[in-house]
Amino acid sequence: MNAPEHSLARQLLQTRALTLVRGARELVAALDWSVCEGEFWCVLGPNGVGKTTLLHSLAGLLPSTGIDLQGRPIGHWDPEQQARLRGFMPQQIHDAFSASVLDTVLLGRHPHLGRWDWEGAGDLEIARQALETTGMQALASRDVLTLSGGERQRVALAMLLAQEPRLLLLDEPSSHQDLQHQVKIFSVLRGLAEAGCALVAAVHDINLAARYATHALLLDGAGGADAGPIDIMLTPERLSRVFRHPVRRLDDQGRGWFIAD
Amino acid sequence: MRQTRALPLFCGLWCAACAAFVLALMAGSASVSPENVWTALAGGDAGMHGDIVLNLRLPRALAAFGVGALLALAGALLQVLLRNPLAEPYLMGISGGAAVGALSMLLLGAAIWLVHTAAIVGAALAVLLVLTLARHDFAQGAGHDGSPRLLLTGVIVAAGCGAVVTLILAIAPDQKLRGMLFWLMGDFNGVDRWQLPLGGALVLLLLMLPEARALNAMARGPLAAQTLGVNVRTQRLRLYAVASLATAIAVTTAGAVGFIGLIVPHAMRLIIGNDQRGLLPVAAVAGGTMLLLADTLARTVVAPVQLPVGVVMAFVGVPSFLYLLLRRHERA
Repeated sequence: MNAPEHSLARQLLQTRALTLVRGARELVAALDWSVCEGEFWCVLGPNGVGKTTLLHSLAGLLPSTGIDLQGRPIGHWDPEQQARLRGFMPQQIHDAFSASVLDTVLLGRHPHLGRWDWEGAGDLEIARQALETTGMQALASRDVLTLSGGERQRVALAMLLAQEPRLLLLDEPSSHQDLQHQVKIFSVLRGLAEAGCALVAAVHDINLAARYATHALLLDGAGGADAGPIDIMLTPERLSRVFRHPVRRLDDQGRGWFIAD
Repeated sequence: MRQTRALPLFCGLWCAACAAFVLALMAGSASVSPENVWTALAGGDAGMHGDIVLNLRLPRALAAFGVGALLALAGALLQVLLRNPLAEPYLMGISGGAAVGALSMLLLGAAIWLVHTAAIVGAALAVLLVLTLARHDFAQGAGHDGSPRLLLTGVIVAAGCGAVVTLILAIAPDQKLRGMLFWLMGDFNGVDRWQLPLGGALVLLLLMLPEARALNAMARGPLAAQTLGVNVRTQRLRLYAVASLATAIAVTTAGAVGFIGLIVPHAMRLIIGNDQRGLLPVAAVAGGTMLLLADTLARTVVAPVQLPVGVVMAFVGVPSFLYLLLRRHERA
């Protein structure tokens, strides 16, 4: 696919003939794909095509073969090494215990700390910065159990930012957000890509993807996957086929907007 | 972050523990003055009082402190493993297994060492049974939250043991019932083996402390823990093994003393938060102190009759737990 045009040094994630099976269904068949620094990939597809399964596999949460991090198979990394390179933000978070927002975000520093280390002033500064970036600084001392769904999701994003991974995997990062925060979060993510991180995010909002992502991976749920730069991937024809519903493109102020017919 | 709040509480609890020890050594059918307690402890000659302090009250007090610390530690660990603030050491059937073993021996009229051995064997069998039944939940990767099923497996094994215990009680002759009931409620009468509970509490706490920050991640769920670089599978097994061992030592020393493992970690969490680096040591010292005070009360409140310590714990435990629970409800 688009692998050859990048030098190996900048490549953070690569799949080699990755096959994902859920029950009797083959979600992804022999996927060869690579993600490089500076790229912001969005994974698009209807419900149940395997976006979350793919992200979980890439995050090392499901046993799978055929995934390399920086050219080394995932099984050859120890968990802490992986956590310093790669972070994951899940779709849903269930808290069982009370904890302050700041303590929750500070937990993101775990892979950077030694066995007996306590979080220091530097870690605190990173956590506060992450809270500011996600617009949560005013709620730093609140209990996570009292937050709204959107606020809790932004705390999870802040925790991911505090982890400072170079490869960020996000499962529907703006699903609980209002309009203002959807745009804010995606511009933060785009900023990370421009600063040299690599991002892979499962997204349902095609227009957010079109505006902020650099690349798209389209999953059809029958094993087929299309990957490429966003302008090439997001066409009414491809989207209509993948989503099994007619999609139209409207043009306004030099940008294309996709709507369901 | 929480370092600042855990440390003063930890020091305060140690002072309370020392006070509880002095009280335990002084109080009883023969009241001993603080000077005589000090003389006896310092190796001086305090006569008959010295004997009472060193040979009767001190071993029992040390055992009570160790058992309390073990139970609080086991409760705190199981609450993390099951991600449930209401989990407690007996939930997973360990005390049930020990009770089946101990009560069968009491029924047969076996020697006291056989009762202890059978309790250990019963606890071990219950642990093995839960491990075998829930092996998939332990082996699964982090993409799968096995805690609800693991919890159910433990609860059902405990229920099965409970049925056997009831059966034994039903067929036991009247003169053996009293001993059985005391064992079930938890009782330090005649307990003089303090080395294992106290040493066990210390060793198991030191074993878990290096993992405490990883446990903080575990408390946020297997997904979060694994992506933060924690080996979820290893930690689950470690948590279960250490909590089981702590519970088994406690139960075989003094029977099934209730409430400590549930209330103490819960109460300490309300005070200093859920950072395991502070919570585990604080809960252990608080559990030891609380059980030591309860045992002192149990043997003095209606002296010369000695109550089983489990009864005292329940009288203290039920209202304080309801208070904590309702207070939390009001805040939310």
